[in-house]
Amino acid sequence: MVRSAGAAGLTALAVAGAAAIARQRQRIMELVREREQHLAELEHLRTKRLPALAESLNGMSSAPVPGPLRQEDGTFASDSLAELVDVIERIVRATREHTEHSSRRTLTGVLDTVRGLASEQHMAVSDMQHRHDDADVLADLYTIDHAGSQLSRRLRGFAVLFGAWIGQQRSATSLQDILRGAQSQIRDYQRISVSAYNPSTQGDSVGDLGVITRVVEPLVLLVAELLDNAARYSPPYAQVAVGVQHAHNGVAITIDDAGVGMPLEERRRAERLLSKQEIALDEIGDPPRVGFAVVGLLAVRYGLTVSVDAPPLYGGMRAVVFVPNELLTHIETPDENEVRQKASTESAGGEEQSTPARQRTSGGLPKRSRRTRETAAAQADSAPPADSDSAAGLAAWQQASDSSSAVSVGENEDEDPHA
Amino acid sequence: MSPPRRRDRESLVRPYLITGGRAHPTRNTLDLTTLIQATRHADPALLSPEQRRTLRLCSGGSLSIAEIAAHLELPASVTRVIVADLVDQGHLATLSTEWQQHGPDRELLQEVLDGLRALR
Repeated sequence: MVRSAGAAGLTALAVAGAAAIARQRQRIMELVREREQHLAELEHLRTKRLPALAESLNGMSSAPVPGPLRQEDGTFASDSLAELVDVIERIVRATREHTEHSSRRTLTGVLDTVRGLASEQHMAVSDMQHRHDDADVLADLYTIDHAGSQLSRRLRGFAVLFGAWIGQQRSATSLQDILRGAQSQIRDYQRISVSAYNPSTQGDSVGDLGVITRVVEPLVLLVAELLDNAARYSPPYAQVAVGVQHAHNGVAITIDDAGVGMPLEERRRAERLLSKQEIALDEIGDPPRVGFAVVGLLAVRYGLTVSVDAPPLYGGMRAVVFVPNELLTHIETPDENEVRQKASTESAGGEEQSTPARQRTSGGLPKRSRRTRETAAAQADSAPPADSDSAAGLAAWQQASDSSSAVSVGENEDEDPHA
Repeated sequence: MSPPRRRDRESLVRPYLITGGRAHPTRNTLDLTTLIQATRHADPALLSPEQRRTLRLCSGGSLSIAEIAAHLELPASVTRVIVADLVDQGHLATLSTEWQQHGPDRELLQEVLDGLRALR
């Protein structure tokens, strides 16, 4: 009885022990499996996820970064690694941003030094063209001036990419001068034909349209880059036609070349760059190809719209720059200016801001006075006229005659409100 | 009018663009004192802005090359190229040719004299 009870106890013990052992064994098996899954997960992290993350962060690949491994039962082995991945991603991003930021700062500093010197040289060449009268010397000066204009455009393009100040603020300028200014800055300027003069009897003709101060220099640079591209992707003797058309709520500047069109891959790259809000330094490439990047950034920053396509009707490319009404202004023609001068006793030489804001054109654009030299031009109707302008004209005559004079005709105060 | 000062900025439209890269005028008979006057109307759409302004300047009477250059704020050399082209196209004429045909114009001489007196 006692024995049988002891045996039963032992049996129970044995059973309980066996069950415990079985449970322990199962637990060990689970732990082993979990460990294997963790190891597999770590291996997956090391060989797949982190390299993919690095590529994605460095812009080398746009493929999605793979997630953790999924088990047969649909669960993930571990989510604790997700946090680790996030930490790594944050560290790398912060490091990249810091590097980008300090590189831009350094490059902007270097750029400013070079720009200062380039500008000094360019102005010296400008002055020489005012002082020298020998056509052979001038022909050489034109060459240097042309190179200087291209250099200055390149440097401005880099400034845009580095997020630096584009440089030089100009007073409101007519669209025609903006297009010709852009034309001045590219290598093949002789192949560009600008037709922006469309006199119209109703309100604002395109000939009287200009853009406001803030947008002058950016628009010149943007158009110059597009012209340069058009000239480069078309035969060396083909013309590139530039025109201005009225559009809904603004004007469209059209640039047409008769080229073979850009290769598809180039087109895709251009479209990608045109739609970017920001461009990292390592996207500039080596050798640097910055045209479309500069165009895209300027368009975003200044509220312009740019499209580039290949119309099927004729070969070549067409670029269109849309300038909305709020960036446009009416540039007063000298004739209007003269009428206004006669109607008021306002003396010439006021700043452009002095034009009353209530002066508006039929198109609703604020009127701005062109540089007062136009007024002088409009008033100069005899030689020599007997008013204050004649003194200026004759002084200039004296100056122009005196080839040793280093000073050219004085510019009006409103030429540069920032001087 | 502000006192003359050194140019402290670069003009947007460069001289080589205005002359189409030509430094030599098509005629070398134009010096700073050559007087120029408009002869016939031109279609503005066919002219460059500088040509349009030059014609407008000369439409009210005769002007010297130096004065045209001052009003355009361009180097005299660039002005010569512009004027020479317009003379070639028949839109401008130099007054010296008139002189050779009819002798000096008394009124013009009087105007020049008045101008010279005003300089003092």
